[in-house]
Amino acid sequence: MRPLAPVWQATLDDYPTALAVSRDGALIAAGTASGTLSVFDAASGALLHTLDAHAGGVLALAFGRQQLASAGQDGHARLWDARSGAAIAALPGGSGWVSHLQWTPDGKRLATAAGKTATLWNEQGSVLQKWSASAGINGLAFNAVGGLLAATAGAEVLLWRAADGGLDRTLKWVSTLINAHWSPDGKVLAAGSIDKSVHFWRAGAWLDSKMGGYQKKPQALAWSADSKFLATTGEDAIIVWPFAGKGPEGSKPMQLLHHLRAPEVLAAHPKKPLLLSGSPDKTLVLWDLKAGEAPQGFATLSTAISALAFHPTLPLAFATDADGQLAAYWTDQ
Amino acid sequence: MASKIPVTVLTGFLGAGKTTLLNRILSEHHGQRIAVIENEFGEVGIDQALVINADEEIFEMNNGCICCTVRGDLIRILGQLLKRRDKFDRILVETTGMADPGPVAQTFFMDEDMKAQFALDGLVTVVDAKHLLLHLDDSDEAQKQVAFADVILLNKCDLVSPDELDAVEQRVRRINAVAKLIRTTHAAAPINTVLDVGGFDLSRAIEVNPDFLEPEYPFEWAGLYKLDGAAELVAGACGHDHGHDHHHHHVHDEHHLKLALLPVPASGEEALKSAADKGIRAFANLAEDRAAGSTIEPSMTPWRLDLHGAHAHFPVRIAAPGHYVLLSEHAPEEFHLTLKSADGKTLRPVLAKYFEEGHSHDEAVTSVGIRCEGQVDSSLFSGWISAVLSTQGNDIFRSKGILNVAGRDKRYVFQGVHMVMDGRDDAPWGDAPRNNTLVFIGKNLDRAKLNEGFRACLRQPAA
Repeated sequence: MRPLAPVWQATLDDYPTALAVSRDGALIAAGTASGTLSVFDAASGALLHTLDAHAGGVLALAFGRQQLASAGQDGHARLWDARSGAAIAALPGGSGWVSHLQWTPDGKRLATAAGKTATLWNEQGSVLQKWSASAGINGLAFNAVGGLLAATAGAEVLLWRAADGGLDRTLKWVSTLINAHWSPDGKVLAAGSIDKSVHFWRAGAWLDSKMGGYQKKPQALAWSADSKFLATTGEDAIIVWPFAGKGPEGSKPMQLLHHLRAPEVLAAHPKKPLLLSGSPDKTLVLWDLKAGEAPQGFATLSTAISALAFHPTLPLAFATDADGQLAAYWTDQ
Repeated sequence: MASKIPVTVLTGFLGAGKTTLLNRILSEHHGQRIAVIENEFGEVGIDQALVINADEEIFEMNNGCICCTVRGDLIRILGQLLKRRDKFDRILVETTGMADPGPVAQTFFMDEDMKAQFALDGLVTVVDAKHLLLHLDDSDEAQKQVAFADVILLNKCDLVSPDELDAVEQRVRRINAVAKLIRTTHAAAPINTVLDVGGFDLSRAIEVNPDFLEPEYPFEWAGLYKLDGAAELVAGACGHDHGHDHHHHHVHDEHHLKLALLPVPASGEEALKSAADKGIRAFANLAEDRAAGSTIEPSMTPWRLDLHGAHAHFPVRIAAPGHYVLLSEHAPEEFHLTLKSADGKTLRPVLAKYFEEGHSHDEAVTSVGIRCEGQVDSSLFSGWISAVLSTQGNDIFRSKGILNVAGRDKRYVFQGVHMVMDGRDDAPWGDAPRNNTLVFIGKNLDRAKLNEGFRACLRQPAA
């Protein structure tokens, strides 16, 4: 294992709460607890602009095609022209904080969630659909073709059809679910629960399967690009469930152990079977899921790692720490 | 490690005065950065506080078992507050009037992240003295809010008479025997009585006021009589054909009645109370059987009266005229128990008091206090308390205690919310008298069974 070579570094004004790389890899955006949104050139680290985006703090960020969407404690999601930083639209969430953002895979429509309300918008910020759940929404995810929006609310996952707004089906577990993650191929929906388990449903059969035994609630989940691995936090080691072959039912998970303290953030590479993990122990670690349980590289920042991202085409990894450092590293030597 | 951020939870029905109290705390507590999480639209009139409005959101585990629920809105908001560079010195959570305090409290014990960063300081419940009795009758939430509280503000005292206020206070005490009770108007409580109360702080579990802990009395009634000379006690067996409207039914021996007669130096409440305390020891002694017609007299030995037949008469012999307290295992009306003078006149007690019946299953929310001497066997205790909390944790809202564990020089303290319990060794006993104090607040509490259960955890003194 080797240290990851630093490429560039920048300092943000506060705790980074969200990090996102544009689809073409040109830009990287970071949002903070103080409500600012900074956009950098991903390769060079040059700061393009810093916006006062959300009074009270930024909660989520996601790149569309040309747009950057942000969500925050000011009760709004906002659409920005990613390159110029010009505001396009302010999208009222309904009530309270707007906590979740998710673009359709084609980047043409955006879903937001605030409290018990989810809204589907077009790229200009017009409302296409509005949904309400019986409990607060803790996770949003579009399936591969963008037709179904999964929203976890209470102990249920609601599957809404983007086209006509209808409720396609409801998946139930007995304990509150805290996130939602479709596999990139759209075949499996996974969600972590506060009862220290991870659940998944295969599209079509929709039978609930449970993977238990966690020490803590699995707050972060990440699918590998080929949909063959689901990495989860909630233990000192990262638990990686295999979804190729027999699936988790018939195989033992990989246990990626290197951090001194249980990792809390994960990021999967959008094209390769690579994984980044970040821990309160200040380290980030690079893993190659095809290569097994051995760590491939690591880097250390000054405080707890708060967010991670991969570049889609260049061998670059990005990480932020609680003090507001944003660092880029080479993942290849 | 940095110290944890204290959290104070304000509960109480709409209109009781929560927001008034909140504004008072904010305006009087200068120099601290306070974040307020509100679940109800209130008018916080202080600019420097950060006020976050959020819907109350219950996170459930395992099919809605109340013991496992936490508050999702608090986890999310507090998680974000931790990320801010401008840190907060204190968090205030104002719940809705209908909120169950259980999930709020459990959030700080069950969620690892919350537990690591925040310390629940106390639950402060504001009640409207004028409407509380009504609310307690109508609403489980009102009962729970009183039961969970570390501090209860009996607010709007100016709107009720002193008698009404006493009645309200007594009712509150029956539910929660250990909370700090403060009478206020306009929620004007001294700030230091509602902040830093250490309600969940194990090292302050010791501050439980023992005066509030009524012991379990083995008798239901005590009457203080002025006796001028010999008297006669008349009693009859309790039959079911009497047509009496018993407000409760016992399963007991209908043909025997245990009682004791104790001399007291004077009349008055104090004398009655001291006789009752002495009576606990007297009732622990083996009773002597008395057939109808045989004499009874003041003694630390209780008498077991044989009441076969319609009315049995027992001469009462006293050494000198004076005040005496008669303690009866059951309420006197159940056995037509009367005391008559030598000339056949019925004597009425100067003072009488009914005691909480040990075996009653009270549907309502009550406090059960246990105080006793003796050394606790730690493995017996941990087996017992975990069995109690795992089977009755739904009904036991809070528990706390200080124990004298065999073989240890330090006090062992514990506290629990529903099924979650925390315990550890605390300050050394030193010269302080070593005894055990436990409090359970909840519903359907079986006072006698809890007492028996705890006493079974005591080491028997070496023979």
